[in-house]
Amino acid sequence: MKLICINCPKGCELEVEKVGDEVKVSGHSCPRGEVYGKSELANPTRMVTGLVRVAGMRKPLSVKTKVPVAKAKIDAVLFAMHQATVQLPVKIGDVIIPDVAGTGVDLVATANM
Amino acid sequence: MNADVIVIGAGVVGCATARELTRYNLNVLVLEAGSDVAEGASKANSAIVHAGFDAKPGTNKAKFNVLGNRLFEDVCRELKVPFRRNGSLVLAFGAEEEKALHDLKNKAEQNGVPVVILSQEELRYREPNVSPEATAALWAPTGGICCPYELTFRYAENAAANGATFVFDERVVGLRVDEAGLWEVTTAVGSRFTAKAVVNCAGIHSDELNNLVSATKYSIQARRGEYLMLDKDEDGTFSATMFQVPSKMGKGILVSPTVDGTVIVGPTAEDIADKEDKATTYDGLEKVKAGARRTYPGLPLGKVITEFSGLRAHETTVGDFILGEAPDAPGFFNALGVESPGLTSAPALGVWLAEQVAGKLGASRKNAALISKDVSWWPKTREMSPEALAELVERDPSFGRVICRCEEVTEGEIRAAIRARVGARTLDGVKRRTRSGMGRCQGGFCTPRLIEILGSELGLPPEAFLKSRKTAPEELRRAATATQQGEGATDKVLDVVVVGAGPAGLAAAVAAKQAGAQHVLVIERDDAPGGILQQCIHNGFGLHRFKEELTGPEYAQRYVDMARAADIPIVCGTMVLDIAQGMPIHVTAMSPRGGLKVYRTKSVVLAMGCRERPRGALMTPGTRPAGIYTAGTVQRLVNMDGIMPGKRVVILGSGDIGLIMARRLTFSGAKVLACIEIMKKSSGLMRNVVQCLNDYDIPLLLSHTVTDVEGREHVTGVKVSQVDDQLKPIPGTEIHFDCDTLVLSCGLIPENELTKKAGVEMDPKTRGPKVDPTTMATSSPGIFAGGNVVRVYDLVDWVSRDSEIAGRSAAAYAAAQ
Repeated sequence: MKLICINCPKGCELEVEKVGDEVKVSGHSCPRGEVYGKSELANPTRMVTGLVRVAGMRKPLSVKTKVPVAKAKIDAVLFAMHQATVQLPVKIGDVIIPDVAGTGVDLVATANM
Repeated sequence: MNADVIVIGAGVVGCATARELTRYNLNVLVLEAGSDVAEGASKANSAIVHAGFDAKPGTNKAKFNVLGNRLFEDVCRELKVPFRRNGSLVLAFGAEEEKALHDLKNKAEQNGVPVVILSQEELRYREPNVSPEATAALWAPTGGICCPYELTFRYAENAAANGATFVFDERVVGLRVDEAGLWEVTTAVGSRFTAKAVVNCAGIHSDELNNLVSATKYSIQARRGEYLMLDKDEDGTFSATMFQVPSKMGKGILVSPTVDGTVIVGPTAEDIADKEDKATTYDGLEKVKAGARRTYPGLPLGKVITEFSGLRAHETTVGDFILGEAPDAPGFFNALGVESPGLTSAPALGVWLAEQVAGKLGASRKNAALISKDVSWWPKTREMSPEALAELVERDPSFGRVICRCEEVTEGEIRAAIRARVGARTLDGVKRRTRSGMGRCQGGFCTPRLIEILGSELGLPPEAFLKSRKTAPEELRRAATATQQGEGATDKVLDVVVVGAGPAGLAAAVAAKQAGAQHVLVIERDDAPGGILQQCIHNGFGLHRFKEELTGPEYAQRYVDMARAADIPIVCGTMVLDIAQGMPIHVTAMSPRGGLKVYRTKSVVLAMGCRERPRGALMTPGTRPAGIYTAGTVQRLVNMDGIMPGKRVVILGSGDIGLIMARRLTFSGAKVLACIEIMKKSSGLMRNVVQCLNDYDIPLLLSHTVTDVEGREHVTGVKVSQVDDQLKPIPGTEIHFDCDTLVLSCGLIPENELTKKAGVEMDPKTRGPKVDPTTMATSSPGIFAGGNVVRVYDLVDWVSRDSEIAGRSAAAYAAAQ
């Protein structure tokens, strides 16, 4: 399978193939590429960044999943994000929704407000 | 509602007539179909005050052109409107056309217009940038240039100051004489007005009104003219208005300076069936370019900031202005078929029509002492002396807050334009009254601010003003009647002044401080530090610099924290207006709190970042409705202001911000229909194509471009065509998308207005200052530059790295002084 690594602007073209139980990645130019190739085959994940409503304000708060979540879970994470309203003050890193959408990952603030 | 006189149409002729009518003891009402004054030909024309050499002798056009031209100086002085007699030149290319110049000279003499014929040498001496192919020229020194919409709204303001009432969004559909012998005027929304006299100044629709009441029928043909506008960089290319020998269809393609310092190029002349069709076209713009190149072979297309079209009201049966009382409709006065030279004639037409109406009604002149001279004037900060500006900002700090950075328009000016008697009710209204959004970024940065100010002044949510650029929000319709010393000590010489508090500026400031500079100051025009990264809420920043993947706001905050820890003052809400070389260097800045201030410093780091290419620069044909934004503007609206601009989106260009916004808009509930790229591959990074488009099944159409934008008030769709190897659209390949939003992501340009003002040498390739990469020093001693102001980077980590070099070099330079 051919993939494009999304870790950095280089965008290396990866060749990922399953040889028996092992997944072989080639075409990468750093260790992150190999990790990405393997995970993209087994369980593709993405960071989700977005916005949640702030009580009493028009300006929203920017948030992210603390680590990448399964691609299949993105819709559920966005839904949870759109349902939430936070109270200020908030600091970078504050947990806004713990275990968002049952992913086991916390949704955290990415701005001070 | 009753009045003595109803003027139908609030273009320049209608407003001039209304103003002149208020010189008499008459109650004047102006009805306008649009939401503002100058919505028709008055807002989209060549802005030329014609000398009058080419109008056919003996016609109304010739008579009022010459009279109007003579009145222009006085009128513009009274109304406080810019006007310049820059003179007009008509170019001849070869012997045949030289003969035509002599015909024009004869006409000019019959019309009483002074002209001389210049030889090629005289022409070249006067206008060194003119084509060497031009062999002779007719010189008419009385030709001039003015601002047509400013003239129109100041006419309206002065009319309103003298008691005229303006009612908008009232399209007249019925005209009859009632039982009492009064004119009854009915409108499309069902309003009724009566008056003793009616003046028909309805421009392109003036034939329809005349034909309702008179047996003498006229017919107006809409004749479209397309234009290009060039950036202020081109100011000074020509000093006169450069015409070519006129044809049957009009005065041909001209190239002219404007009173605003831009250069106008156009128009085409094309008869069209639809009286509302103000779309620009691919062919039309090609004709403008070709015609302009005859006069100006060096026409730089990279300097185009916008294109637009206007409609002339060409009367086909007589071909002249039809003026005065209709023979079979007493009390009904025409100003019909007023096309070029209509703007020039307007002051004289207003005086003459008012005389006719007053004579008919037996109205007496008002006592001159009772006539108000007020035109709702407000100060234009960009034209003020530093002393006067400082004093103004002290009295009213809102004149120190720059909203439109390209044209240097402040909040105070925008609020004044909304609060005027016939005040702005729309984005376009603000734009035309203040020039905010008319500069090289075409509203990319200031639109979110403008809708906020409009909302706060008029008591509506800001998004109400995004529905149409030209139609006032429903709630405001028909309601617009007119009768209604700071931080950073300036005494000591600083070591390093950094302009801009984005990652580049903050990295430079921190590095300068670490390298030993004691007095470092950062000046930021936004209200908070962090720069554009504050709105880049996606992840992918900082892998190299911080060895972890951060979002934009997180990355920015790291640098803000570092600057705070290093005790570096950051002055926000402050715009640097000028940098003067020397030792010390003088940095002039303006803010609402501090007013105008001059900082003295041993060195400067420029870190102003970059801006997006606006639509105008792309020359996309079509109408100019609401719903077209650059990707960065959408990013600001969605991520910072909590405003969704639309539901069905097409993205033109595959720049990174466009790709990122495709995903963001999808996340926020919009449907992104396609991303259109004219080149054979994406201009954004592959990783963004994968994770922003492919992940969400958004098609990327390579070798395609938008060939038409549809919709009058708001975007309703776009047409997309495939292009060939020369990037020309291939006929028959059109695809149509129904959409309400078009997002442009066609690249970034370093923002270097200040750099140029400082006299720093530029690199034409990067469009940033020339720098020595080992020190980031510019050609000017003590002035360094870092980040996207130098060239557009892919990665913020390299912005920070190179800006740190600039900061250290600035510190070393300061230490050596």
